[in-house]
Amino acid sequence: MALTVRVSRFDPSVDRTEYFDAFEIPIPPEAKWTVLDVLDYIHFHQDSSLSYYRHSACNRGVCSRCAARINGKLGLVCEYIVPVEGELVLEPPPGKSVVKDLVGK
Amino acid sequence: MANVKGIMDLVVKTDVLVVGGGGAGASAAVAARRANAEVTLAAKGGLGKSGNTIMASASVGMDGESAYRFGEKKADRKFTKDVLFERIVKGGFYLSEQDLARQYVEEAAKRVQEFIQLGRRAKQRFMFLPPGSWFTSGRAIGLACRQGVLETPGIDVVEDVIICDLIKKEDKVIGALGVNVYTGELVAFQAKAVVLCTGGYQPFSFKCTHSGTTGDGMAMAYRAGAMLADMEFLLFLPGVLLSPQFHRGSIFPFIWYVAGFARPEVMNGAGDRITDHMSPELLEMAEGSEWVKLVYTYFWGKDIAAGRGTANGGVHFDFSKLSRWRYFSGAFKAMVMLKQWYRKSWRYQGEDMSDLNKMALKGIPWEVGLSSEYSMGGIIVDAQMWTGVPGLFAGGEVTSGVFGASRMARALTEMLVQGHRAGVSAAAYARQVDSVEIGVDQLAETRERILRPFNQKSGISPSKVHAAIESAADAGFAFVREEIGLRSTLQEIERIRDENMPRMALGSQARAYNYEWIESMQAQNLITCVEAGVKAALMRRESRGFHIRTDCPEVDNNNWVERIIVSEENGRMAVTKRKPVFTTLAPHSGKHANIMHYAVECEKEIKNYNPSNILDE
Repeated sequence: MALTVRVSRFDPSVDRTEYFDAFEIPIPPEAKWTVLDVLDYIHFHQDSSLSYYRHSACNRGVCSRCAARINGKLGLVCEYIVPVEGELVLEPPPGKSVVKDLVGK
Repeated sequence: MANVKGIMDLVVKTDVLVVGGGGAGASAAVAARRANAEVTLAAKGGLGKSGNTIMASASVGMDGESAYRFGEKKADRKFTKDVLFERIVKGGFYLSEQDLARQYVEEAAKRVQEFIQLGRRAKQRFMFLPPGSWFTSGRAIGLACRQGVLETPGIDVVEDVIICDLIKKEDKVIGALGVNVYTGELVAFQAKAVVLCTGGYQPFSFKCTHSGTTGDGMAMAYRAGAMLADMEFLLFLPGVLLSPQFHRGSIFPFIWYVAGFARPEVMNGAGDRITDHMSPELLEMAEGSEWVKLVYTYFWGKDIAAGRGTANGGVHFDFSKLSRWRYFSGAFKAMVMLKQWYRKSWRYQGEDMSDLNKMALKGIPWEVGLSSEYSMGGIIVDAQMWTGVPGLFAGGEVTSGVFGASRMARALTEMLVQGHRAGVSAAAYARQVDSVEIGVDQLAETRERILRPFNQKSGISPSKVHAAIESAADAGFAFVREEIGLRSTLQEIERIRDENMPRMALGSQARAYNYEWIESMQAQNLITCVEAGVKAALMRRESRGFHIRTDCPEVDNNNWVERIIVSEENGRMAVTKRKPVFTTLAPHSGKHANIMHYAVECEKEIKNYNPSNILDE
């Protein structure tokens, strides 16, 4: 089983417009991964250039700084539990300018 | 200055630069500003949201007499300053610098009182727990710290800036170099004094701490010529969730356990009840005193290290023997308490923990482990929070010396007391010295080092280097240690340092929010701390506090009431030792068969007072 994750990409120093990259993530059944686990997996195993909020993160839903659009709705990356298969769409938080990929300011 | 502007994106001038966006940093900034210094506070993340301040769960405290005078009628006046001092020093296995422990005890009342008033103005709730503590949420602690900065006009706060290194001219610190995480800009801070409030170091892969806990301040201070001590002592928290993945790292089970409303049985992976192997007095200490962290780290750690752990290397909290009534009434009491901060039932920090309730009701145990939450070790400071390097001060967890080999009182109180003191001292120092213009000479080398991964065409991802450091630390430097494991960890750390660190390369050339780039700096800082910790652990051929060695189980007071000091000598790490200064309490000579033997003896000595409430992070 695998989850297809479509991630919005944009590097203002190189790209003209945003585009999507797709990643296939093998999620162990019953492991209950969060979006953060998925993004860490991509960062470590598939594409280390992907940017997402990570530099001063609590991973417990306390600091609320890792918000992103998850399947179209605003949510915390560290708290949202992903399904083990199907599709997941990740985009930067709305109402902010995109710094890089999923990071807005 | 024109030259510096050529290689820096921004130059900021100030009297006092405070590094760290948690509680120590906020306290230092407020104190320095009140002393009329120009103050810039640089936070790696958001103000009041950086570092482990918000991860605590969370109490601040003082002696019982002071708490009583502060209006808490339930405070226990027998819990005097002297009792608190004795607990810190003896519970720290006599490695405390007693002037720092005394300062903690003497200044706690004023700082904590001020802090609780700030917290109340920030509309946060505090629950008094005898003998002299107030319990609240980590978020509330962060908001109270932030309130202090907001109420103090004139503090210039720069958020999301990671300070990479101190800038020195001759022997003096004259500022620091930072990177704005979101823009990638290089920022030079020119300051008469710098205060490091950057917290501890987390060497392990299993974390209950904030992602920024990479020992930045300790490593920067070391590079600038300061001394580190006690780096082998890391405080472990017994009862951190290992699974499910969604909850991995949550300290909820520890809070549940010490609250004591519906205590589970603690079973090892082989299905044996771990508490069966403990004497009644040790069990009592674990269930009703501040010793809980050390006692369980010792007993769980031995089982886990001997291969009797659970699937993920922990123990089980088993509720199956508890009657339904006991479980429900205990859970109800726990929820009444926690709802003060988290509003909903089975809510803890930002998480929905209701699946743990379902597990307990179905008889499925909670899998919990040992996770490091605090570094006793850090920068050596005097009672003015001076590091010994002109212009450089430090406060909070980044320092060493209050708690010795095992912390028996509040980290958050240390944060307030030392942060304040460091701010006062830095402002006083800044009044006496002139600002020194930063020149290209002082910046060029650090700048080159920081930008090096961009120039590397191919190599290793800094995130993988960070993970490799953690794997090495997991293998031989964790809660139970022995010579052979420590040796191979050191070998691996030296290999990573010499072979991998110089080959760090980035997947993206973007400067803006390039987390791999941030990781390249964090990995450099962390490896210095781990190398120091492992070398100290190898040198200390005994067991003491949270340094538990299976090959040297004795607590050896004849040879090892010594602090191990690490400093840079001619580009190499030098390791020496020295005795702490025993101003009030002197250690007994002789040996104890093991750490638990010491703990029981120590508890008997200070039995005249035993605080019953131990809720803390």
